[in-house]
Amino acid sequence: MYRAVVIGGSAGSFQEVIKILGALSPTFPLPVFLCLHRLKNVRSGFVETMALKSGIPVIEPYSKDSFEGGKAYLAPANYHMYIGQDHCIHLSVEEPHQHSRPSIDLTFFSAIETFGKEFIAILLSGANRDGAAGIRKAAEKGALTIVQDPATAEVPVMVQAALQTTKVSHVMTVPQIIDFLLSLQEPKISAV
Amino acid sequence: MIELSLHDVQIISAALLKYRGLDMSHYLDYPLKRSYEKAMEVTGIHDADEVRHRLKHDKNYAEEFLSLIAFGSSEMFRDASFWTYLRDYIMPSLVHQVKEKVRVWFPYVASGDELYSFLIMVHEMGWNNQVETEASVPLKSMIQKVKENAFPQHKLKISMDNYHQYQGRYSLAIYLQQKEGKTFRNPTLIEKVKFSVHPFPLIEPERQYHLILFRNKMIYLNQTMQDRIVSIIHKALYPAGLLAVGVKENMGSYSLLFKPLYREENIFIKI
Repeated sequence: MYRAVVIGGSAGSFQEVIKILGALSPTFPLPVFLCLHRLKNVRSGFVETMALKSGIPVIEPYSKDSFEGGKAYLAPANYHMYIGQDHCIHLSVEEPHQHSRPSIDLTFFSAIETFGKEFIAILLSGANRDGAAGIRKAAEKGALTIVQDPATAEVPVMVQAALQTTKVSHVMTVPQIIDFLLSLQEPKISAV
Repeated sequence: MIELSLHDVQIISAALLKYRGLDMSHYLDYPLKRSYEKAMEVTGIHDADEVRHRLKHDKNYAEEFLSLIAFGSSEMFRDASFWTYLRDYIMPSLVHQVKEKVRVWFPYVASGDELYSFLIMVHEMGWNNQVETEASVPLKSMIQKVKENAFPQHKLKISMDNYHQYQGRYSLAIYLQQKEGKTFRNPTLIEKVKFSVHPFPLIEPERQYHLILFRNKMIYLNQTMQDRIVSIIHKALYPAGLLAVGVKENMGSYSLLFKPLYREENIFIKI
């Protein structure tokens, strides 16, 4: 049983995330957390563009907002995003991790504390190593880990770093990731 | 890289309460965990039990640890559009309306980034004689640290970009000076600031203020403590006083105390 999908990405991931969100429908049972590297000092435009093409609502949460299935939650610019055990999203302005704020690792780490092995961690195209440690810990915990096939990633540094670090559950192209997520709408999977 | 478990975090929090009287129970787990990890990296003590031992027996270590776990701001002029709005609309209105000095309070200063950004704005707009700025720090030792104005290199580029976006009058570089390979902010601006030691979470201050800048601090606190602090800040404001919180801080449940003045930048007016 899965309770959430957590997606990390950086350079080259934006269009891939749009494709994934565009394929989902509001009946998708799980919350989708998006931690994507973005410009620190540009607040507007990103979530609006994403929401236009998404099949589920895309929200840039306020700190302490609760979360639910069928919605995507995008880490705001220049904030780290944590998924809390109180079923709320928490933000912080602590120092960057791996030169990144938001940091994919930190979002993954919090997902591990909150969901244990009951979540799906996905890492997409990107240009630095943020996310690799998070995928490794998620795999160690027993979560389902998916890394984008480096051959199809616009910038493969991030996914290669993850694959060098750990053995993941699946290496997939984005269309395969979409097919997999759509299969989660089967009745055997329950929401949070 | 140190990675604490939440159990380790509890060990350290218990030691801070037992030996240093500091109650961390109102802080959220993840940022707290990271602040402990960072403090442990800087101090070179990598084991939670050893930290507990040092907090009990080593006063100097405890002071350093306490100052390292304070939640600072990320950079200067963070959210340039907030500072632009403050400069172009909020402050001119206050300076015009308030007959004596406009009283501004920063209830929790750790890194000094927000405070110094404000002081630069006041300086550039020629409001030095019309604005009285007070800053509270959670520990006495932090007054000197803030006044020293050491400015970490990794904040430099983004702060300069922010200042450029804010369209400051000069270059941020004129407020910075190099000394022994480190960058410091020019201390002149901070000389007039009235500092106080104010325990955090806050107690009610003795004075009232026209404007309180408290951005990105409540995000580290649980809801119960946030409610209590918002109530204290409400009392600390003059009627129709203004409160600025971080642009992603949740103020949805305080509609009886505050109404939005400018939602985009999370600026509120006391009801």
